[in-house]
Amino acid sequence: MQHETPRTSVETMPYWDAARQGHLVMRHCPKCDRWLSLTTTACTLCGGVAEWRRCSGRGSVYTYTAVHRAPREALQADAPYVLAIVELEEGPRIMSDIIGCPPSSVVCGMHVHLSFEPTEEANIHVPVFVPDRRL
Amino acid sequence: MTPSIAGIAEFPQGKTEWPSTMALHEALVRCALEDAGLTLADVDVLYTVSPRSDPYLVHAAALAERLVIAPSYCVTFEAGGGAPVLMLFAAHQVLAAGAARTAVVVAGDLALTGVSRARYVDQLSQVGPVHPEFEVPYGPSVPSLFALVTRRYFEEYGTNEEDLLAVVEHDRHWAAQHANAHMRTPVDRAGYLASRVISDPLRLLDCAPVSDGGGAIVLTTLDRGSEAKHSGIVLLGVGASTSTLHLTSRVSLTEPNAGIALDRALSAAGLTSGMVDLALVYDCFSIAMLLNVEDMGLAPKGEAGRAFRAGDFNRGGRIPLNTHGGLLSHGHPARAGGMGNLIEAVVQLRHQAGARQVLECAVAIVHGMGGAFATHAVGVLARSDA
Repeated sequence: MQHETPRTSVETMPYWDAARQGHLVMRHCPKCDRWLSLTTTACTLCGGVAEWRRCSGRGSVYTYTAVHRAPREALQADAPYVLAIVELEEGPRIMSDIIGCPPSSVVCGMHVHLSFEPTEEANIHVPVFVPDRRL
Repeated sequence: MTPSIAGIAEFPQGKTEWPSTMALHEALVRCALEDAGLTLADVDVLYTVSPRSDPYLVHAAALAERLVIAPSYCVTFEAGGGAPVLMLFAAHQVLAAGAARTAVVVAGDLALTGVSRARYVDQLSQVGPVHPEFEVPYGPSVPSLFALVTRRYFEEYGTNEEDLLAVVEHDRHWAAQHANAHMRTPVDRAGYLASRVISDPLRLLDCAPVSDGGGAIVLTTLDRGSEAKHSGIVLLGVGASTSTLHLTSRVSLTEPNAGIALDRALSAAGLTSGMVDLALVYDCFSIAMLLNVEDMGLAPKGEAGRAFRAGDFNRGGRIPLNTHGGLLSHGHPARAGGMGNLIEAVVQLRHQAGARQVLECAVAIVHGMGGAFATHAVGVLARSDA
């Protein structure tokens, strides 16, 4: 599936540096040991500066949708593709695509794990998720 | 004098033949002023939203120039679908403070005929309520965000597409009785199920259409006395609330803050929900109607669909809803989408809704929503003799 290169910033470079190395990092408060949302820079409990912490990459599908009408022409060839919100096993949630399975096989609660897909720009990779293989 | 709504304007929505977005705005303003028995020279305050078909820096100033007036305050608001209610609130505050005497709140867009569909959808998906770094690469569209919410609603409450259909049927039934509505042909279950899937489980009919349209409201403290065409409609109170812009930052996807905004509005108005005769709910998607209705306490959680099917929201039911067809059928002219709710409230409160009239309508609540349940605003409107 085609992935558009996101508009990155200096502030979020640690996220994209980690992605290039095959890791997913999310915002975390070291003092409170709490995970924060991707847009939060300071812990709402202690006020401390949030750090980027690596996640295991394992999670489950919190919700999903098979997108039939893509928002732009470049993506229509990939439709239907599965857009999802994945709940990481550590707690925080991330938007992503579920790849490597038929759209109709995706269900809430399905266990998934991290993979990476390239974008148009060589050094920017985006985290995606694939279903855990059934035993 | 208490600021009161003295004039309104709205034209048939949908695929129109307006020669320009400015022409639509000019006509709305002139028509609303005429309805109020006032003139362009009376306008001290001009509020607009930024049309997708005519983007401007300070659009309100460009409109003032077109009208050849120079109001003290020209402001263009951005609050998603909550803007119309918040613009009315802001105008009310300026007038109540004595800083001006007449305000025109106008929101319009040639979203259908003035913007290419591809550009409209793409633009919304890039700068809509999606994160440019962490979400855009995954190809979310605005409908897909609401579809993510719908799936959670189904999962948590055991609801299904029949509940979405109940909303679609309701809105279409009422739009058929409104001359200005965009979508007026009846929809039945077979037609709904046959409509194409946009983002599963949302179908085309679950999504408000892209429409040309909008409305204008004149608010004034000038007393027209016996020459007034209509008795004034007053804004008794406004309440608003915010959750998060991005779905991933939210604890729950099925608990919008519409109820908090309503509670604040009723509290400001000094009323209880039992005193409300009519509700105009922001329903850009069928799921938006269901969740907002439930959150505002008009149906128990997970049961709004059932309430629609039971006729609770028709005239003679518990509380009439969206008697103009909602955004789903009355039309969705981009940022101006919430104006239809305000205009219908005024028409109903004036007892001028004809076949759609809610008997003895004295108090109405008007709800607007920004983003995908990110912000909410509710206004309580009433007849001045209520």
